[in-house]
Amino acid sequence: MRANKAELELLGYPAHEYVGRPVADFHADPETVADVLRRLKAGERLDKYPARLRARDGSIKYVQISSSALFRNGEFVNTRCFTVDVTGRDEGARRLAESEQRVRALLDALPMAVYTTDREGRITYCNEAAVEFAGRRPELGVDLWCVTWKLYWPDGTPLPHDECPMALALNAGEELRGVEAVAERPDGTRATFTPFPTLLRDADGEVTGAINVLVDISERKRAEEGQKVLIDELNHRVKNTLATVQSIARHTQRSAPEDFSTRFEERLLSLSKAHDLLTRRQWSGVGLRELLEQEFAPYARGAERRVRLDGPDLTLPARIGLALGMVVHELATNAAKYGALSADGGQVQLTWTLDRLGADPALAMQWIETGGPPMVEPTRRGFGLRLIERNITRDLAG
Amino acid sequence: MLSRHSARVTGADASDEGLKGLQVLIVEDEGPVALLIEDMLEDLGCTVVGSAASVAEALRLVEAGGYDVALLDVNIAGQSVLPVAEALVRRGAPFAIASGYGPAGVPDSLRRVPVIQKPFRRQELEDALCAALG
Repeated sequence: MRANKAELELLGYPAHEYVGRPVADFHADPETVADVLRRLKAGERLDKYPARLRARDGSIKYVQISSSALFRNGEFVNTRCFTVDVTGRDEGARRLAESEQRVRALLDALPMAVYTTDREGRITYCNEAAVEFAGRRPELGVDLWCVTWKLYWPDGTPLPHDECPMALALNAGEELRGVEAVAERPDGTRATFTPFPTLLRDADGEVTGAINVLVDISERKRAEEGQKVLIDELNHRVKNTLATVQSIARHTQRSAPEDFSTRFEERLLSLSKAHDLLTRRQWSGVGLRELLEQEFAPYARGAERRVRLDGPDLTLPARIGLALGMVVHELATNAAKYGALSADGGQVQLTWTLDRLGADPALAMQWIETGGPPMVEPTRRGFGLRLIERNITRDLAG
Repeated sequence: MLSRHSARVTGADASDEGLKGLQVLIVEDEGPVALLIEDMLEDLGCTVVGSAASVAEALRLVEAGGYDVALLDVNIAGQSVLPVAEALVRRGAPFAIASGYGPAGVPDSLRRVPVIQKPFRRQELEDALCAALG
């Protein structure tokens, strides 16, 4: 670092104690010097940037720094810096410099995009959050109305910068609230946001510029979209389940009108319990063994084991689990009414293996009843049998 | 309202005969729901000539022919029924859609196809098939 005589006198250093040391040594506020360097490296020109320097005797000097960086072949070479001491000038100027510095530090620290413009809409300041949000660093004093690269309305139609809410505020005095817009960054990514354009006025009430805060609501938008998908899916499931219940009611009425409420209730509760198993795994699937154990729970009481389950535990997709649950319910009910589970000492043996049917996995199940009354050919094909035929050839694909 | 299918019910009073004798292809992946639809169609005097529970099987049945009209679910075992609908359109075969999503869940390209939302009454099924047959 080099310095002229005025700079050395300002801080009270002899040249050999000053030259060559990092500039940060002489600043009272580390954040300020960091910000100054960052801005200069980004190519920004500083005009009367307020700062506090520490003199050799420890006293604080209030200064305004005007500076720009020199680049050669894109490389940062050095900065040329004019420092004006405003400490002695007057208390008002010092206070102003201090207050400006505080406001700047405050805006820089905000986690949301903030920028200001002059009366003509030229951008005069933007914080780092605004740079990050826009995906670009606006050219101060040149870029107009908004820090963003491209703007759209939420429906996707382009929104010219000179019609954006900030332009509307400065041109027509309208400070819009609750407007949503979409910003596109140079890398093509988009963010939905709500702007809060607010006019800045001097003591006489004259507009001197405007400040805008851009609140990124992309996350909320995504959550709303996700919720809509979820509700649609839920509605679809509810409607399909109601159609299933409609089917159960219709078939129960046809096949067992004298016993309707009991049979209907049993079938409905079996379906409901299968749903419980699915809910436990967020509808990602259902364990075959737990599904079977649940269906056989009413017949598992007593000392002797009347139902034997033998096969690997598998996770079935939700739809297939529901279909199989209904089939097993029909078989178990049938066994309890007419088959092995209706007689003392009768047993049901259910074994299954996972095979392959071409490229697809196929579940092969064998249901053997022993010790029951002699089998009687059914007089009609009831709901149970039709459902089994149906489910086995369709949902279970064999 | 059911008279437009009179070409098939020659000599009979259309409003009584309705869809009698019509051969229907069903594409529905949920067993109990397919059973319900088959029963309703039988009540209407229709014959179910095919019942598919997967898109691949449905495509095979569509190409095999031998039906007058088809009834499609929108989502078949996690797959979109759109290829089946497109195959029917190519063949000029009429069809209706029965979906848990209702009309909102039907792809834009099928906006003109009659849609009924599950669960539905037999009358709604009848109306949708009649509308499909134009």
